Formats: sequence, C-alpha cells, structure tokens
Amino acid sequence: MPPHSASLPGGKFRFAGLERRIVLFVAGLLVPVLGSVLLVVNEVNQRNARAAIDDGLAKGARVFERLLEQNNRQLIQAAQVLSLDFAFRQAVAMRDLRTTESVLANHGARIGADLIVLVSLDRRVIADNLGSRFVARPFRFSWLIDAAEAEGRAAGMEVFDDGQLYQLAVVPVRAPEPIAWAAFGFLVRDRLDKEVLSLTRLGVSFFGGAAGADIWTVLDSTLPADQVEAQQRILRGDDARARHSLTVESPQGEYRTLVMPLPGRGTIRIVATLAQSVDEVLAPYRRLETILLVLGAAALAISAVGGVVIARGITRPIHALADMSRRIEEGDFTRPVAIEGKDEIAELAQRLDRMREGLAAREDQIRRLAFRDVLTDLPNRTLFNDRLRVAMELAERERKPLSVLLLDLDRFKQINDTLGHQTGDQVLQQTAKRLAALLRKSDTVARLGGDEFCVLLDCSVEIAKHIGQKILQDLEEPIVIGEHALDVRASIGIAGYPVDSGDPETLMRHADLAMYSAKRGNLGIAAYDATLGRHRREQLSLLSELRRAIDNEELRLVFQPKIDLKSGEIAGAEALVRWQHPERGVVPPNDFIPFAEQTGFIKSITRWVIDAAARQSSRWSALGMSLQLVVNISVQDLLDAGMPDAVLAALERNKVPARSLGLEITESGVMQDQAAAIAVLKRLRGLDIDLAIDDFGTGHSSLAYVRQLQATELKIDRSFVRNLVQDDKDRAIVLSIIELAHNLDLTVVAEGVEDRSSLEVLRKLGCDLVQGYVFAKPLPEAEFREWVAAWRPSAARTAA
Amino acid sequence: MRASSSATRSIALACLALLSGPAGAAQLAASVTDQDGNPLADAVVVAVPLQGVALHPPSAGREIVDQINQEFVPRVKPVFVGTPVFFPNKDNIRHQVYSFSPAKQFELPLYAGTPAKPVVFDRPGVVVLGCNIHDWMIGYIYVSESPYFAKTGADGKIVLGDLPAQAYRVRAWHPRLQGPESATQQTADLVGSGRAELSWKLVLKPEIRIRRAPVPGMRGHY
Repeated sequence: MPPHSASLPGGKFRFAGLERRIVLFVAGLLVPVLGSVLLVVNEVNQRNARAAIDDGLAKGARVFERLLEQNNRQLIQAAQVLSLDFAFRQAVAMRDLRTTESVLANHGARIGADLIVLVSLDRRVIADNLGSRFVARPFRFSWLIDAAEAEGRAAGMEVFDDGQLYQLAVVPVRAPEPIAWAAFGFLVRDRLDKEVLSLTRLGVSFFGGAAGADIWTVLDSTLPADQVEAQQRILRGDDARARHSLTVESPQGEYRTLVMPLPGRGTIRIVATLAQSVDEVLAPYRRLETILLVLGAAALAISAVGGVVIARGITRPIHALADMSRRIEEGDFTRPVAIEGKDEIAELAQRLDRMREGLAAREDQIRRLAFRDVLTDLPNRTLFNDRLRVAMELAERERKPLSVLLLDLDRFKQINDTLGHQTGDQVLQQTAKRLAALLRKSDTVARLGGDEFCVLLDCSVEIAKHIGQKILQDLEEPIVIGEHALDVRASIGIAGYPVDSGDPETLMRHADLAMYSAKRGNLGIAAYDATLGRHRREQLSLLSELRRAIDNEELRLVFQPKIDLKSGEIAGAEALVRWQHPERGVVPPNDFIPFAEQTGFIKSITRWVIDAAARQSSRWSALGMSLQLVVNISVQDLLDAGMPDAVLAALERNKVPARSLGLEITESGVMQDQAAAIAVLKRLRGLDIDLAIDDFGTGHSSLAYVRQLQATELKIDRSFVRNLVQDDKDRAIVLSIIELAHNLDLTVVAEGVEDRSSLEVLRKLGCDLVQGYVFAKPLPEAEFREWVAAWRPSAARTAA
Repeated sequence: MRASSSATRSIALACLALLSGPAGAAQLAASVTDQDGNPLADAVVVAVPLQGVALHPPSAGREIVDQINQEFVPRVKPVFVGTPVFFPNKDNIRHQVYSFSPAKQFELPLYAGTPAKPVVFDRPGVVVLGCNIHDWMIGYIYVSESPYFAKTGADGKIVLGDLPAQAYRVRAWHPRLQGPESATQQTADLVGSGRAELSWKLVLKPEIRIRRAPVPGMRGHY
C-alpha cells in the first residue's frame, strides 16, 4: 500500500520529534524558571549587596571615627607622658638639645610615633625626630597649640612640612609651667590607613582643600590611582560640608564612596572618603549566580539527556513495533518483536506480538480457505483455476492434451432439502473421497462450489470419457449416511484442450455446457461440442422471452400417448409443453423449465398448460376423441393454494369434466412443506382429478406415503426401464413396484420404453400402461390426431 | 591670713633695713584686678626706689614654703633676694621639689619632713616650683631685688607702709600674667604727700590646670 509505506519515514521523523518535544518541554519549563530564579537572585543580590555596601560604609565610618579618636588619644597620652618626664623637662629646661632629641626618639619609639616635634613657646621648632631637619622653622599649626593652651591638649590632622599627612597631638611640656610644646604624630599612611583597611576592608582616602574651597588635592589613599583620581574628579565642586555617599566609576570598577568631612580648625579642610568596590561585594553573589547558572545548565543538560533517554526508551520500542507492523504489512509474520521489560510499552509489544501470531495463524487459515474447500479439503475453484492455467501452459509447451471433467450431482438439492444440510455435506464429503480415491494423485480434483466438482486430467477427451464413466459407475454405489443409503447420481461434462478451447475460462465454460447438456439429456456424461455453446447463450435472455412467450402464444403442447398393455387401447396422453421460439425454433423443456422453476415463473406456465390441455380436451371431445390428458405440475404449484381453483376454473371455462384432466407430480416435489402440499392435493383429488406420481423409484418415499398423497397412478422412472432387459436388479425393483402399486390399487405406468423387448418384459411384469418411443414420441396436435386415428390396438402386441 | 602676716613681716624687715636710710615714712597702697575687674589674689606688687637700693647682706630671716596636702602653701611666695627658704613636707608622703627657673634651679631629692638645708634665692626673678611626683603641684617664689613688696589677699589690695619718702618704680606680677612683667611698671612719688595709691588691671592667661591624681581617702579633683 503506497500511502502506508510512504508514511513510514514520516513516522520515524515524528518519533524523533517526540524526543525533541520532551527536550523542548523540559527546556521550556526549566529555562524560564531558572531565568526567573537568576533574575530574582540577581535583583535580590544587587539590593543586598548595595544595602551591605551602605551598611558596611556606615560601620566603616564608625570604625574610622573610633580609630581616629583612639589614635588621637594614644598620641596625646604619649605626648603627655613625654611632657611630664622629668629628665626630658630638665633637658628642655636646660636647653640640652642632644638629650632632648634622644628623649624624643626614645618616647617616639615607645608608641611608634612617626613624628615628634618639640616646639618652643614662641612656636618654633626646637627639635624634631626627622633628623632635626625642621629646627627653627615656625610650627605652622598654631591652632593646635592654641587648643592645647586652652585645653591642655589638642589633636588634629595636618600635612607636616615633610609633605606627609599626620594625625598630630600637641601637649604642653611643663616645668611645671609650660616651657615648650610637644607634638606627636602618626603617619596616616602607615597607621590609620592600614588600621582602617584591616578592620573594614574599605579603601580610605584623604583629600585636602583650602577652607571654603571645593577643589581637593589628594593627600593620601589606599585605593588604586585611577579610582582616587575618579574620586577627586567627582568631588570637584563638592564643598563636602556634610557626610554623603557617592558612586564613583573608574576603570577599576564601580566604588561606593562615603564622603566624610573631618572636623577641625586646621590650616586646610580635610575630607576622608571610605570606598567599597561594588564588584568585590558582588563577587560572592556573582559566584552564587555562577553556581546557580552552572547548576541550571547542568539541570537543563541532565533533563535534556534524560528526556532523550526516556524518549528513546519510548521510541526505540515504538520503532521496533513500527518495523514489526511494516513486516506484517509486507506479509512477513515470522519475526517476533523482542522488547523486554514490564512497562506499558513492553506490554503493548507483547500484545502486538500475540496479535502478530494470531494474524499469522489466521493468514494461514485464510490461505487454506482461499485455496481449499473447507468441507472436503479439496482444492477450491481458485486453486483449480490456477492449476488449470499452469497445466495448460505446460501442455502447450509439451503439446499434450488436457481434459476438464465437470461433475454435478443430480439430486443433491433434494437430498439437502429433505435430509438436511448436514447430510448434504456428508454426501459431498463422501463424493469427494470417492473421487479422490478413484483418481491418480497427480490429477487435480476440486470442489468448485455447491455440488459441483471438477477434475483436471492430462489426457484426451476420449480417455477422459472413460474415466468419467468409471466415476459414474463408482457413484452408482449408494452413499451410506447413518441409516440412509443414498443413491447419488451425477452428470459429467467434458471439455478438452486444445480441441475445445485454448484458454482456461472458455474451457471451463465448455465443460459446464457439456455438463448441462448431459444433465438435460439425462445422458450421464457428455463431451463438449460446438452446438452446445449456442444453446447456452440463448438461455440468457430467457426470462423476458418466457414472459413474452405466454402473451404471444409461443408455447405449444405436444402429446405422447399412453397405451394400455392389456387392451392395446390408447389410455390417455401426456401433454408436454414446447416453446416455439420465433427466432430460435423449438426450445426443449429442459432449457427453460428448470429455469422457470427457479424463477417462480413455472406457475404461469403450469396454468397456461392446464388451460391449454383443457381447451384441447374440449376440442377433441367435440371431434369425438375422448382422451385423458395428463399435465406435469411442479413443486411450486403444489405450494400454491390457489392452484385447485385455477384448475377448476380452467375446467369450467372449457366445459370439460374433471376426469378428462390428470396431474403428474414428482414424489420429491411433495417433500417440501408436506402439509401444504397434501392439502392442495386433497382438494384436487376432491375435484375428482387423477394424480400420478412421476419418476417413482428415484426418491425414498414408501408406497404408504404415495397413498397419503392421494395418488391414483405411479410412473416408474425411466432409469429403471432403460436397462430392464439386461439388469435383473432393475427388473426386480420394477416388479416389486408394480406388485405393491397393484396392492394399493394404483395404476402403474412405465415411461421411456424404447424397444419391444422392454415392452415384453413390462407386459410380463404386469405393468398397466406404457409410454415411450416404442409407440410414439411426443407429437404435435395435428400429428397426434393422425397417429390416434391410425392406431390399432393390435399394434400394442405386435408393436411398431 | 597667713599671707598678710607674711607681708607684714617683710615690711617689718624692710623697715629695719631702711631705718638707717634718708628716711621719712611714706605709704603706698595698691589694688590689683583681673581684666574683668575682679580683685586678684596672689598678685605681687614690688616697689623699686628710683635711686636704687643699697645691697644688704643676707638677713638672718628665713622663709618657709610648706607642702600640705600635696600643694605648695603658699602658692605664691615673694622673698627678698638672698633669702633662704625652707620647704618642710607636712604630708605623710614624700615630695621632690624642683625648679628649672633661670632665677634659681634646684632639686630637693625625695624627702619627708624638713630638708636640713634651706634653698637660698640669690637672684631676683620668678622661680616656678614643681614636684616631680605630683604634676599638679605648682608654686611660685618671687625673688624681689627690692625689699619693698607685698602680695595681694583675696581683696586684691596691698598697703606698703613706712616706705622712705622718695620716688618708686612699681610693678605688679601674677603667675598667670599675660605679657612681660615690665609692662606693668608705674611710678609713684611719695616725696610730697608721703602717700600714693596705684591700681592694676592685669590681663591673665587662661589657667591650665593639671588633673590631680586621686588619693586614697580623697574624692574628686582639685
């Protein structure tokens, strides 16, 4: 099937799509979730980081202030300790410069002061610990001394003459009145910066500017140069009156910066800044985000791989199942699909596999059904046709003849109808067995359908005829089924290759024609001849023509006399119908009566015949010719409740007595729906119409039954009469029939008597009436009248 | 009233010294206030005769600066040049009194009670006293080249009586005096009336106090 096979690659593509869909689903789920998480985390982190930075800066500012204060206190304390040292005071008072310097150095070392300056009361440098480089210079930071004078001590931040930024403390040197000022200083760069950095991790910078100005110079910084410069730039124009925060961008990154003006009455205003690198604070958050990102990517990857694996787990078995279904489609049922496991797909696979087995088994059966007849296990029509075709091809090559032998059981329908289909089937099986037993293995025996068998023989028609005879003989042996011994007969038609036809279909049709011919003519066996084909074709438009035949008065009656063997008188005549076709000439009854029976048209024909017989009888009686005319009626007529009325009407119409009409029925005809048939027969008999049982002896009815049928006459079947002279058995049968019939007060008629010897036998057996060619064949009315006129009763004894 | 009795004694000594001089008794009264006009105690007023002062040999008189309750008492002690001063320790702890002043540099090693020798202040000028143990202890000995001097009491006033009636250069001094002492100089001529009255309004430096160390049994600061 092209659409299916074409859709298979597409199917595989869809399975790949399942993997894609699962992966897309997982990604579609995870990516937004992870994305949102990352966004939220980033947002929260940023906010937290900024809050942490501002918090850190505020804390840093407190730490810074405390450090500043602590350093100041430490400086002041150190300065005070120094200023009260007796030796120092003595040295200063004594203007012992050397001693003074050494004491300064000693005390400076004690607390790690970076700068110690001794200032005279007139505010000039007396001594310093920087190699006395600045001796005699004015001490510029008068405000510190003023403050120390007022408060006993003072501290502040200043840039000393060496250009360095110091935290400075100044106290008086007393003896015990102030005799000098001692200034102690910590180098901001060395001390405060490091402390701030170690305690807060913040960058600290100091800017200086003239009072009231808003341009700042960098005094000191722990930050990278770029950042300090950036801060300096941003502070330009900022008078830094109050503490505030800024964000400073530099190539090093973003810094959050807290600007703190330092209190003081110094020579310059000093602003300290604390700066926190935003990147540094964000770094752990960034790491967290990176971890999240990596985790997310890993989750995504694992989910994707997992999705693919799951999808594969689903699609691989589905591929396998698809493969299996494709193989099944292609007719290969052999390979099972192997899917292990306990999941739904495995279960589906197992079910499909069982289905495959079932299909395989059924296909096998179908194949058998397709080529074998189930009932008889013989080849069927299909196989037979196939073999015939092959055999013909072979025969053509080898220039050998072939024969087809078509066999049809004669009474099968009756058997089926009377004894049931089971019996019918058994008959067919027995027949099949016999045929098979009779023929060689190489010969094909087939059942074509119904009761029709066919034999293919690789021989000429002549030889086939012999074989056909053998078959018929074999079938004469009754078939015993249960308590019934059935006498099954058959008609055989033979057609030969190449004489009759070159192609199988025609050959079969010819055999069929031959078989019908045999059946029609009660011939037993018939070979095809060219004339048969013509008749056969003529049947085709039979029905419409039959209808026309009645309307156009194309039907004729012919008459065959019945002779009383004792008196030699003409006892009556059987009226037989003939069809005078306008184009085809005379159509024999066998060519249209069975057909009419099948179609139900027989009732019209029977009524016409009865009417015609009554009319003829009336005419003859007018001519002084008083003969009883016997008419054949069919099974269907017996089932027609209107039949007796039709007969009565015909009698009345033609004004003839009932005695002048007799009806013949076949004994098997009564079998169907006995009650209805007997009712009809009783009515007919009640009209005083004679009833004859036709073809007696072929059925299975007892004489008692015949009596029940109201019969007045028995007609012995011609098959018993044919071989009467030669066959003792037939003779015995006929004798017993005659004797029994006589006992029942029935008249016995023998029909089909063709020769004098048979006539003599019948006379001896006590048969009452004889009908047959030995006296006359069925004759048209005019000839029959002439024959009657010419008849002499003595002729019955001397014969024609 | 220890200060006034001490002043009286000084005046008495001066009188004794001048008894043999050109004589005539005169009186100099003076009052000293701070820049706000409040009477200033512990100010020293010195009157130097214009004609000069005859040099006298060291008198037999001696002066005392006690150490009581870790303070110099009196805080300000004017003495005539050449006067020996004893520094008796009345506390039950030791003191180490020193001076790096140019007028007199000395150091009394840790001692209790009264050192055997007095310190003789033989050059005029201000001698600032300190104690090496107690940083807050501060005292002043004003060594005057003139025998005519007095220290103000709480009312900021002094009276120098029995002065030879002549002209004097008079100056005032106080431990917290802002500026040089010579700037306070005034002249007073006692020749005519035999009497003069002077007043000073001194500009003072802020006092730089040194915290007193806590002592067992004492609370608070001095």
